Amino acid sequence: MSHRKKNRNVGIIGIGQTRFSSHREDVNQPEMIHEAVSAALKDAGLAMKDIDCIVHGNMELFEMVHQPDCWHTLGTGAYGKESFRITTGGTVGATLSCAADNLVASGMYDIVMAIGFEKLQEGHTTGGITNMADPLWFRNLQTGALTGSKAYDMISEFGEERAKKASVMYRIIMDKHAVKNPMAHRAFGLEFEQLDDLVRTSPKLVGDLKLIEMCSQSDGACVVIFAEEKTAKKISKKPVWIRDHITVHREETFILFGYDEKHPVPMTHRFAAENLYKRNNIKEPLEYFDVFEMYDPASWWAVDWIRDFFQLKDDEHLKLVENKEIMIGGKMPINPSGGVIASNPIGATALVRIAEAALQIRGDAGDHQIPTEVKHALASGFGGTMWTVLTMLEKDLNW
Amino acid sequence: MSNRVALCAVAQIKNENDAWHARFQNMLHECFESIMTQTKVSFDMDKGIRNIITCSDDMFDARTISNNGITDVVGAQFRGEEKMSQESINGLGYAMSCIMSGHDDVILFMGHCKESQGESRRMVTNLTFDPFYCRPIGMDHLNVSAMQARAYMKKSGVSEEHLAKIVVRSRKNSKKNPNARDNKMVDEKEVMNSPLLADPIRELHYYPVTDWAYGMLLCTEERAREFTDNPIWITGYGSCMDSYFLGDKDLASNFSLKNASSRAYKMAGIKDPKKEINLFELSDQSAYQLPMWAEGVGIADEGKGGKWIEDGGMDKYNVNLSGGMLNGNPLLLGGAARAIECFLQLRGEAGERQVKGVKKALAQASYGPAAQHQAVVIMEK
Amino acid sequence: MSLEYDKKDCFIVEGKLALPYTYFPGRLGSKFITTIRDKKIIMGVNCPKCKKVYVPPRQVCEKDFTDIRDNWVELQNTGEVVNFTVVRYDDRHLPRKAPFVLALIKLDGADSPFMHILEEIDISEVKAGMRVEAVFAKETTNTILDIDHFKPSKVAKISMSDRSGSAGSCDPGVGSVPHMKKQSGGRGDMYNKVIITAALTGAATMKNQNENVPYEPEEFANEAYKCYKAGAAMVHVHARESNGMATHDHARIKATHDAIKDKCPELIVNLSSAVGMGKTPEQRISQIVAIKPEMASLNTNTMNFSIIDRKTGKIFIDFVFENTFTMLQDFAKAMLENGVKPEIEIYDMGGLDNFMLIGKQGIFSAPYNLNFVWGVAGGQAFRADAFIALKNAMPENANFTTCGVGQDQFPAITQSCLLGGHMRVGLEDNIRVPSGEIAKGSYEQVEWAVRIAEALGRVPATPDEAREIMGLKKK
Repeated sequence: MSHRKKNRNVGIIGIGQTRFSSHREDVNQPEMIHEAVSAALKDAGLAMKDIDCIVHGNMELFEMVHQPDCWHTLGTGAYGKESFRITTGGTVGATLSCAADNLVASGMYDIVMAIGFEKLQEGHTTGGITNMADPLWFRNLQTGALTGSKAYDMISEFGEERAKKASVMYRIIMDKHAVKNPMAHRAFGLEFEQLDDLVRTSPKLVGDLKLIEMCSQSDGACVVIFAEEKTAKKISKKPVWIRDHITVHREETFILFGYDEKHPVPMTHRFAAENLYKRNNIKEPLEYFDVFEMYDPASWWAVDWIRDFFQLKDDEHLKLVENKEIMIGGKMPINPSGGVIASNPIGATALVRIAEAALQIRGDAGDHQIPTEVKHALASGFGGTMWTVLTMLEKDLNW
Repeated sequence: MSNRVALCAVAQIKNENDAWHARFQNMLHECFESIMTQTKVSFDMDKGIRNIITCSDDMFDARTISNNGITDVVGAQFRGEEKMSQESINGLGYAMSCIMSGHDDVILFMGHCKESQGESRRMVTNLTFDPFYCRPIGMDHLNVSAMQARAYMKKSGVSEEHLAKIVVRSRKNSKKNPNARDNKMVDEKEVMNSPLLADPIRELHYYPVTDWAYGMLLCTEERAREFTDNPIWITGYGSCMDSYFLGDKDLASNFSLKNASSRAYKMAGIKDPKKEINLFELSDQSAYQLPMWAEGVGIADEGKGGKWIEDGGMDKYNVNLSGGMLNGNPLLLGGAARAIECFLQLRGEAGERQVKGVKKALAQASYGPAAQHQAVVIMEK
Repeated sequence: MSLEYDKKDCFIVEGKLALPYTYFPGRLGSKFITTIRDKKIIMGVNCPKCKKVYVPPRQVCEKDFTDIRDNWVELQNTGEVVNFTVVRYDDRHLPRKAPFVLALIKLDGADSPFMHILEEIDISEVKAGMRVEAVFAKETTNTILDIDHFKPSKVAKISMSDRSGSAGSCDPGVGSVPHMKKQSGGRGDMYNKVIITAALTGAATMKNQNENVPYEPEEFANEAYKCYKAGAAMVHVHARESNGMATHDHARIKATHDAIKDKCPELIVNLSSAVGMGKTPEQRISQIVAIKPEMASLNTNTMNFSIIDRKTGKIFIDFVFENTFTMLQDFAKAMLENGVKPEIEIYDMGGLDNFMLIGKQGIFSAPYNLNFVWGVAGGQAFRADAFIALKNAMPENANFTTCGVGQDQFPAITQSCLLGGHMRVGLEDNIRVPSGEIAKGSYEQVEWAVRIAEALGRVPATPDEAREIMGLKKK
């Protein structure tokens, strides 16, 4: 038997986010985390005493705190409780959700609180990411998380004008979403009329990756509370169920060494999606899902990844973007929250995707709520060297 | 609980004082190959390993997202990999949940640490502290443990002589453990004359800098026989976090360990650990911690650690026959080392140090300043 | 398994992690550091639930997230070493060359010790329990090292009796004295909510003195309700017969108690275990056991309890109010067994000593709730310094409220409010309001008490908050 039935169902019963911004001088790390913890407890109508276990995550070197959950106990409420700290790079937020789901489904804990945060303002993000690379083979070549290779690939495949326009179109759509999300860090008020200007004028970072196309560095925290079925139904009017999740990693350094255009390496996103859909019997993901919260660190990547996540062919993904089908009200709304490109507190970012997907299912997303009923949502995490975590969320327990 | 979790195989390299010649990837790879050979497990998406849990540390590896550097050598190419960023023992708790949840059948659990790589292990642990109130004062795990040692020794009547006894015994036991770090044999006088590091902790009271890596294979009860004829069952897990600021807590109280162990006992259905558990592996980073943790897990009476040593408690309860953390395991991996010793003893594969009739064993480990977080695992034959 | 292979050609890559970091201490941390920098004052925050002053400061108490960010308390620059180590190794993260001393220091006025460097002392002479004082850095770094270190101090620990003295002036330039003292009644003690109790009747106040004294259960209920509306969290009740006489009749007391609870379920009802003059011990305690109110009074000493003309000293009624040690013990046990929290009535310092003495039997549950009673003919009259002496003599984990007979009522409760205690008013103690007019009811006195609290910046506790403070079982 490949994938066993979940030991027991797990629902999201509480969600809390801080506002995301470039600076949070007014709070220290545990104080910032506490804001999201309080918000999530309030959302769930719980007190700290009701929580059995805490899962904490971010990246140590981004703030240079060793085992930060020790200090952060001042804000997380972990005192006297069981606690885990599980990390996976940029995917960490999604991994926190997977871990919380596993911990609750196992029967070991009834209510688990997942806490993701980052205070990127306090550290040096690009330096920190560069330190990922192997000191012998690669560290002198790495440019943080910035890469122009995806732009190069897409321009080669679809021609310069179409590719560049699709990337900026995606970016403008995300900004239009971010304007509706009061938590979003960057919301410029971009208009579609500016598309050609932005293609021409936005400063280039690496290759054809432009400043406007890259995600921000944000401070912020996100907290999601998970509970087993009976408890979830008792506590929450609208629990959102975690159906399944999958994590796929890839070794990057040596893959890049052996890069060969004729034999492209399979993408983790496509691989993860394929396996997840197969074991959950999802034949047409574009039809099945009502909303997708994608970890989109840059608009080039985002456009390309739509093809992988929905198992599309040729230029189907470009058409979705060009026809604005990924907008709120479109066929497959992507990131009604404004996405990572608007707000990126890295350790929280992927958990925000889960939180926002759950808010859409609950119908509690406020101004950025999509107008039609959301029954099935997909959330992705991205990190490390092309790592993927995909999570399926459901309104009804009927699969 | 729906089912038992099986531990099917373990692998480790020898604990070394400075494995300068080996990359940590090499160290892990040795363990990885051993697990593959022992169990013939595959990475098939249906039947094999889909998820790997690792334990490592960004600071010791000097790499952001330390698990990023080991994806290939733990087999995580196009499989899931999640890093336990606390004590490795918590990785066992998490692995249990992955299996008991139904999400995974088989979990590979691997960890590495080269304490020798950094200029100073103490500098790393200084970074555990907040940058405002504690870090500038120079707090690190060693000088903070010294405060706990003073408080605990006073409370429980533990003397210099007792500490010397613990160290001498640890070294003797380690001689019988082929994977233990090679340390000089010492007598009690040498221990008591060894230089003070942070009063009352002396050099020989404190675990030495060590490099090590390990691997374990865990799976569901149903599938255990595919990988081994002799699975060991993990039946209990419990953990607890204490306050962060030293002044906020009673350093000698064992608050977090008492909670962690009672939670693990409850899960494993253990009423009287003294009678039901035959072997204990405690993470004694410093000698004072051995009787202190013995009190915490309930095999020494509260406040009587000194007398417990005198009465032969360490041998009576088969405590740290491996040599313990005190003989040398890297920070954060002590728990895995403890669990591996429990596994070997329960399987009857502990060689010269084998105890007869071990049916249940306990592994304990802590992390954080003054052992802020504690966790306990119960294993059964 | 071990790594056995040819190591001849292995080489090592030297590397360094050198990334810039900029940490934000937040509002609290910034205030803590800048107050040390600019004023040479070390601050903590007070948690009203734990009843502890914590240092370093934090926004919320990690035990239950009580928000304590505004509860700043100025601590002294002196304190006591509770634990220490001598760091005998050198490392780059250490602020001093080895050997140097790190000590956990409990500052005077704080409950949690914090870590700092101890210098200007021979290492062999460092001891737990020694007195130390802060030495501030000559040049600021905007870090905790603006306290450069601590050194041995000759300034003795401020004893309990000194605590309530007036504030000393603070002049940090000239060394260790004079220091800012922790005061009773400073802002630090006034963070908590104030519980206002209305004693509706007593045993002696009659309708001919104030027609608003209730006799009938429904009168009690109406009066209690008005007090609750005005801001009272608790009522203290001596039930009466219809003719006004104090009664030990279970049915009448129960009817009175229940009428109040029916009309005003939130309110805490505190029944008298004195009842009235001439009642037997059995009559006094059996009604408490039968009705099991949330709280009941418990008297601590045998004393004259008389009615004397205040001007002439002429005796109208002479009466000995009997409260032997045995009664104190038996009543306390009965209350403990029946889940009734005693309000311990303290008429003078001896009464407090009696309570502490019998308390050694372990028959009282913490927190202890004391009521300092002033102006009984036979007890002591209200004096501000006597009040402070009582407060300072209290055991740990105790709350206090106060009541005063006649003209002592408002001065006594004002001082209690100022010292962080609670307030009891009501027609049992006084029939008038401060203007001299006859009170329209106990509730009018409650309104006055609320005004006093407001003027002093304190907020009246709701009944549930009062339960929390006094350790009553949650309803």
